[in-house]
Amino acid sequence: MIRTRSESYLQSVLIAVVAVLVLYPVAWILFISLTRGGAFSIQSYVQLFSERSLLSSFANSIGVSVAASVIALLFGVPLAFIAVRTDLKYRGLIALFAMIPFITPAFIGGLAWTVLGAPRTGLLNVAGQWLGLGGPWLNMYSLSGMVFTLGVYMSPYVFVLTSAVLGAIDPTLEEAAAVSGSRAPDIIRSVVLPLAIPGIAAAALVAFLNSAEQFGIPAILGRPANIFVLPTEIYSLMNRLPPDTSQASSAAILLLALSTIPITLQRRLLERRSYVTVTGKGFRQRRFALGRWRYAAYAIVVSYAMVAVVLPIAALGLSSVLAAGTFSLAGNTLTLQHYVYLFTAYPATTRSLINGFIYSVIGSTVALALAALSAYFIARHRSALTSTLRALILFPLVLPGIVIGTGLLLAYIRPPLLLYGTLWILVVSYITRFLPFGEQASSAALQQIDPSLEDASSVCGAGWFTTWRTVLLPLIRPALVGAWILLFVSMMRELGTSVLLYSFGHEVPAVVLFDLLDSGNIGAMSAYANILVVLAAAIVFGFQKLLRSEFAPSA
Amino acid sequence: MSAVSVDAVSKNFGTVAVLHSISLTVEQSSFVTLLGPSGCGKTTLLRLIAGLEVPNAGRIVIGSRVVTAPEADVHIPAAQRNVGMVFQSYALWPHKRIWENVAHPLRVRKVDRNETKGRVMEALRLVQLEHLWDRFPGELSGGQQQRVALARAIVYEPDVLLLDEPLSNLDAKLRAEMRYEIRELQRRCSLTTVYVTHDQEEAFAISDRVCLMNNGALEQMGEGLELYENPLSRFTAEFVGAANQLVGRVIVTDRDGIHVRIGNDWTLRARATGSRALDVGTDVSVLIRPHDLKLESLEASNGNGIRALVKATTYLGGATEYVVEASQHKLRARELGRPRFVSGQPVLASVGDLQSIALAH
Repeated sequence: MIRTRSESYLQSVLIAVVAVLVLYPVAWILFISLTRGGAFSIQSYVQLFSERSLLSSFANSIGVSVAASVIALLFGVPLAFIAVRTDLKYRGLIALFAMIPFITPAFIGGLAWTVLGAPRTGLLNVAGQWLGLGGPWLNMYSLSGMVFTLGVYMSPYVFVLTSAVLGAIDPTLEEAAAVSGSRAPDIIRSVVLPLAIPGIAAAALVAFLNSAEQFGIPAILGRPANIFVLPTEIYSLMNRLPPDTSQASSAAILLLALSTIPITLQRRLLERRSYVTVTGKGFRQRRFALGRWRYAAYAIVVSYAMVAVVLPIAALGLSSVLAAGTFSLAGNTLTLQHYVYLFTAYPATTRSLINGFIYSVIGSTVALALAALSAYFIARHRSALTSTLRALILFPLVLPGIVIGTGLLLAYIRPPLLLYGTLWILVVSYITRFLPFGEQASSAALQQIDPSLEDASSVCGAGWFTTWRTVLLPLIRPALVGAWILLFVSMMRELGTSVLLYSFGHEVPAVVLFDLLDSGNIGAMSAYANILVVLAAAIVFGFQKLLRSEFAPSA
Repeated sequence: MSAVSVDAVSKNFGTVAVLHSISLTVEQSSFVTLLGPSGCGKTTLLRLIAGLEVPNAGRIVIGSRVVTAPEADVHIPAAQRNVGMVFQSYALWPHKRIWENVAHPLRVRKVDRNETKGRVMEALRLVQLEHLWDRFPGELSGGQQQRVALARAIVYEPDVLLLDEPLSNLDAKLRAEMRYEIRELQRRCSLTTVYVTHDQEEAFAISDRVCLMNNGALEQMGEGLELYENPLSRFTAEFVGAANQLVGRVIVTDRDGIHVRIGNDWTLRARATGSRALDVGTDVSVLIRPHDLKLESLEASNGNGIRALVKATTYLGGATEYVVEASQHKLRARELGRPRFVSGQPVLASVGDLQSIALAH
């Protein structure tokens, strides 16, 4: 396809913008990590591997992420199998688990689990006491508490990715095994699972990366017990007085390496194999009859629903209407005072909701526009330049939120781009963080469009812009609207980057929640979390039709 | 004056060369078909003429306008070439109604509303679809979609009409019908047309001239009959109509043909159609069309020919095809009517004087 002059101009501008967005902050991190007191020094890196507290944060990051991925696999893989390949009744409802990250994101789950499992006041501990189990039997402020909660909230990613591979296995491979005499358990063990392994491995990697970059859960459940992982370590280094930017930057580079290395390894490994079994064709797969195993299946589904959705939402709901914010065996007062407090006395509530709304509207619109145009050039004009663009735009996938936050803080606190203290630093951080998701959604949509539809328009005499406006845009609009909504919902509650970048007057919802937790106002915190969950649920379910393609992989 | 002239055009995709310095001309109002196996570069050449790809070298002229000349840094984009194109997939915009699809080229040309309406309906009338103007493409059959694509391509009276395997998605019966209609439309509107297909029968049926392409180069250009009767190369002879292929040696040459000895006991007088002279003593390929290989029972024959053994008999309905073995070659013969010989039967196979073709081996 032909590139006109205006197109190549647009393409160069795009690459420049994306490069600045993505590389400029990382360059600053690298630069600052190699300076001490204005001079070149590798002292920060030396300290990274000699100071005990830093080393233990690093070790915690690896250990917690690995353990959380295991838990995510233990939930996610069986759930995917049950949903896609068995005859369980109501299995269609399991697909709703794919929406969990958009309705109760990990850090809201973390907040809910403090309400459930704080050592003395946690609802489950109070319940234990009432049942006569004695003292606190559950302590979420611990390594295992972090691992469990992370694992639960990473499970949906494993579920979605595994469902996709399980649903794409060519049924004739299983039929061949059946014809040659294999029974169902053997087919599952010797055909289905081995074929799904690459997909499950990719899912495990995603769970690992998402756990390693998580700021919310370690900040909520780890800090009270003085357990740090790299993201929370970076946060406290940046929040020291004065901030130790050099040390924080070197830790950020280490965290970046931690997420980049496994991805690179995985690419290498997968390059050598070819799995031709997973085709794009639609076909009917057989469903395995569960028989008596259905009780086990129900048990898995119900227990996951309990720990991921029912208990947390119930806990937040309950504590938001209790005067004390916690349940007491001695007696409770039901009240709406926390909601009233949020909207009358607490100054940042309305402001943060309005801010979050405005920043997310701007952020998701700009991110999606950049992403859709980039996806177009990447899909339609293959060249070295567009491969570079692709690499750039997908780079934030390995950038943890806290690293983006650190980078932006270092980069935009000084000229020539002085953005700190304005809303723009938050908007830019959201755009940077969510660009890859916009690109992935747009390129998925573009792949559905036969390029000859655009060719036909240009042969008919339409210029590039007219073709976009009259042919391409109307065709990909539903997918783009869906992607826009999901970007909006994600930005609306973004914590990892916001927590370093907000300033007075520019609070956003996640930051306010964090603040309410730190000030110990559990009732108000729960009330605010409820508001966010209800808003997100309303949006996600309200636009479910439009969003269907975004949740597509689960069959 | 030729309507389209392609002059020494080359095209690479990365390191892969798909067109090697190809040249051809299309006369005003004529119908030229680019024929060739998949991967020969015919579609690429069509897209170069349309302006959807840029060549690496060479020059393309439409009418009197140089539309592409990379060495002179000239490239007029597709939108400004005033060519019409029908795509293999039809490429109808699924979100636009039929009349909107056809009106699109007029809209981008800023033709006024009333005139657009008239011309759209006129174009739809030409393809006999005016009654479906308000439908969406998804509600039409393959053949109807094909006609809409055609209407869209001619509604703005393009200087050249380009068709990229337009019939390949239709079933055989519809294909024959549509190819007649396309030809009729081309004649009626005097459209200069370039048509791409891999189907030899289609190419012969529809065009004034056929350009046979192979491996990114022009193999031979001419009327169908000429390609069939006088192939310049073995590729042409094989691609245009099936052929038995034998290896022999030239023993005598005369004014009209050459005598070729095949094996020890078979001599033929063949036409040498290639550009290279075939001298006595050289090895040559001999091509015999299946319907030129005559089979006779041993008793009925006059003794001219070679003894052969029938290996297989296939009745095709109206015609019969035989596989026979003669002087260690397996040969295919085809004749009208019911089977006359059975497997295992010895027969005499012969080829008429000058009915086979000899080409450099």
